[in-house]
Amino acid sequence: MDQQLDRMLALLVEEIDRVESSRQQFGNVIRKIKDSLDLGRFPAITENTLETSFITKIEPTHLSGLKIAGIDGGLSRRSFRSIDILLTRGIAVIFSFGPDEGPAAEFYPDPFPSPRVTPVLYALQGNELDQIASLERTATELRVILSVLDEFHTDLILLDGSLLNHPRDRPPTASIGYEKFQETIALYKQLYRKARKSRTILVGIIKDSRSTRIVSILGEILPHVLRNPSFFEMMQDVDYRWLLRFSRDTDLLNTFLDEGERTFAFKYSSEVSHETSSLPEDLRDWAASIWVTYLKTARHDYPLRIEVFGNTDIDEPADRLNKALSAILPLSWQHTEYGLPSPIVEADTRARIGNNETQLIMNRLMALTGVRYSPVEKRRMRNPFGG
Amino acid sequence: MDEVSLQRLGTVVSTDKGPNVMEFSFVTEGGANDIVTRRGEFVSVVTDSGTVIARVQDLVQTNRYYQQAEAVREYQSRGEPLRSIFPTDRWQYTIARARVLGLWSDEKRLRPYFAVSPGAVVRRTDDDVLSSFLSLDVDDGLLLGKLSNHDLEFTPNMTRLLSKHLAILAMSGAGKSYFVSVLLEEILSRPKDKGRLAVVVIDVHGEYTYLKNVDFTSLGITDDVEVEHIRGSHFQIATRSLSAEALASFVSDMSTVQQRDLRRVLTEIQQDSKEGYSLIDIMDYVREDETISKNTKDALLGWLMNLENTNLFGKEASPQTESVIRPGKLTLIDLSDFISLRKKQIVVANLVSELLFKRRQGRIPPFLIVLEEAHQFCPESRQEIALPKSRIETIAREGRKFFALLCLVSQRPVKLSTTVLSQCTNQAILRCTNPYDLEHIGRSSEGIDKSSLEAITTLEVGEALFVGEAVSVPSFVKIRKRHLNPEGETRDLLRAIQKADK
Repeated sequence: MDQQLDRMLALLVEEIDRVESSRQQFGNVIRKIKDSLDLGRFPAITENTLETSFITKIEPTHLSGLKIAGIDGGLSRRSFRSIDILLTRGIAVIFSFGPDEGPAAEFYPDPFPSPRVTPVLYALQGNELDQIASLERTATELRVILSVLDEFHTDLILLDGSLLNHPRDRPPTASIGYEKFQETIALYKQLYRKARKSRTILVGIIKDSRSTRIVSILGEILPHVLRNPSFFEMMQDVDYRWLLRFSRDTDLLNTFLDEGERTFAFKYSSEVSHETSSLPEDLRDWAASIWVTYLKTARHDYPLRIEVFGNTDIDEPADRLNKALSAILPLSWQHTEYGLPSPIVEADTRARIGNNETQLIMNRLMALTGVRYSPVEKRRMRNPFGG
Repeated sequence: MDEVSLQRLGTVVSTDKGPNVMEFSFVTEGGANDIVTRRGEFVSVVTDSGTVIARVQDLVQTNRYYQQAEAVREYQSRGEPLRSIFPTDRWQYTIARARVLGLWSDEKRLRPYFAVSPGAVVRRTDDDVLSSFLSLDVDDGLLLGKLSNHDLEFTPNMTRLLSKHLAILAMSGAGKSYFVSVLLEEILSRPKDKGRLAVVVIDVHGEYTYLKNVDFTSLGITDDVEVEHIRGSHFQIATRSLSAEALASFVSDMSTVQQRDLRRVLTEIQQDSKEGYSLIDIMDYVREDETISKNTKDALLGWLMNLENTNLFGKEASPQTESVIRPGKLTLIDLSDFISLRKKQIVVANLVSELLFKRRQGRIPPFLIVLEEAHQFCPESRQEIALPKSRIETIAREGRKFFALLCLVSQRPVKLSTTVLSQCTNQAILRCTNPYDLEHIGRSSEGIDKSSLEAITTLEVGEALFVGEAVSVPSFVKIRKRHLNPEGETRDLLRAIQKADK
């Protein structure tokens, strides 16, 4: 048994080594040619990009005088007899950077807001409940953003997550969760309308993106680029087609982006069309206003996927994007292995609903309902012998 | 007093260890840099069964941003502190760990028998409750200072503080003598109608001489306070009052045969000399006694000559104890003239013995002996010469029955006789850093806990930890300023050398 496992692991290690070395070789080549990559030769691609250069260097700005909000939501789920209970919390942390050391912090609605308790009074399948829970959290976050836009005059709003609803969170029209989905979509639209009138730059920070848009663009342009004999010579030992088949954007970009560099920005809408399940029609237009790029914020961390809501009524999308990134960079680069902007880190900490907090709420609920003993927890959670 | 109106200090939290019957932790209120409560402060939690009184043992500041050393190191790798991009101060909070001292219920102090609830509000302790809880005597106690971290006067009951002896222990310069001065002021300022104690101070360094010249009326008392200052060189022991055993105790290794011969000589001389005699007279008798062997004679003569050379012995006693020891009177035995430790020990040994003897017979009133540098007179070690040791141990063991009271003052507790120290049911411990002394104090004090013992090293000058019967729980006290101060005393080296160099 052990020998068999070892053999399997050895094969896996071999495969991983092959992938990693190929990826590294690929990165080394792209690092050498990245400044020469010109997307202008590919009109079908540049139709949806902000610029033709593959890489842009971002200059960090001084944070003094900036007011930057970080927004995040927390979610916890519990079952109470036959009722599923969702606990959500949305919070905004607003940092005002002054000439003095460190930001002054404000919080919305409170430094430690109580979770919102939502009962789900339907017998749902697990994936359906997952969708409702995720939509509930998104809606909570969106409400907080809307309030921050109204009540705080911030330069930037950084949302922990995408500026668009994730396709996974779209329930079928017949689903119980569809109503919640519509409510959430309405909130998105309200947000975009409000953001369009505001000078505040709305930014989505995606921590662990699984997107492959850049990979697919590389797949489109590389056969043409490698017609250049010197480029071809460099890449001839790399099976890049094989590599691109299973690589994600951040995996590849990590091999050649340097700290402070961003990729070309592309329209979110161009990515949506590549997805199997897509956005509702009324959000598609708005998706064209969202620009997506990857910024390498920390030397030893993967690049961040960053989405910026472009407001053409106020300034050029490129200016807007670069302005946002020049503030995000100094907020994220201090930790060489964790390149997340500090308002997001702070918001994440405050939004998280831990086990203890959830348990306290459930205990309170039990006390109020007078339930002395009830198998409110799933059996796997209350094994009398632990474990 | 409405307990609930007292200042809120924090909220009890659940930890791995508590709250349990003896301990709880609470998160303090206020901002990151507010000092809401202090180590050593008494706090209370009001419950249905009474008020739980506890003391803050330790305070821990915590901040999640600084919990991971690796993260802090990484974030500061660019030369900017974490504070430059994070509101780190917003995550800073203080957890106070409190030890339960008792339960105050129906004006009685009870042993704690339940744990406070997590979430319970912790408040400052009401002064009246605290005063009663600590068994302080607000109306008639000795005003020695204020309770540390509180605005409550520390007024222990005199009977409880002194009737079973008091030890004042501290390193040099921590304020022992100052505290003794305050204690003397309080004892001497008691009005006659409440009863006054006679006080004898064995003043090894002449530190209390100033008291003979001060104006006690400034203490606001109407009764006369008498202070008698007796220099060591004026001290004389009446030879006729000494038995052979007493004389033998002043020398070392006198054999029983030699003591027997000396006893016989003394019997003879007492029969012949009704008006008293000196050591020279005894020596003459020894020389003329033909029944004493030559070796014994030489030894006895040597010892007697040695004692004679101290100039401490004569035909009459000076001073006369009965005339010196009077209620409300302070007698200063100033031994600063003596360099010889042996001479000091002879004086102390004789004085202690005589005072206890006369007190037993009711010939002198209840008294308190303040013995400075007590470790010199009753050391723990058997190797050191300690002529008065057995007599001090006797007074420590038996004195309280006759109201012959001891106040031992020492800067080396480890060198002080454990027998004597353990008889002192009250201890005032000022700053002390020597680990051996601390260990000794810990072993000989029943009421002192580990945390209080640790706190002794951090006491400020003039701050004392009181342990014993006078207070129901060990209490930290800031000794008050003395009202009577020595004039022209130079304690500062620079001033002293300037004065000397004029």
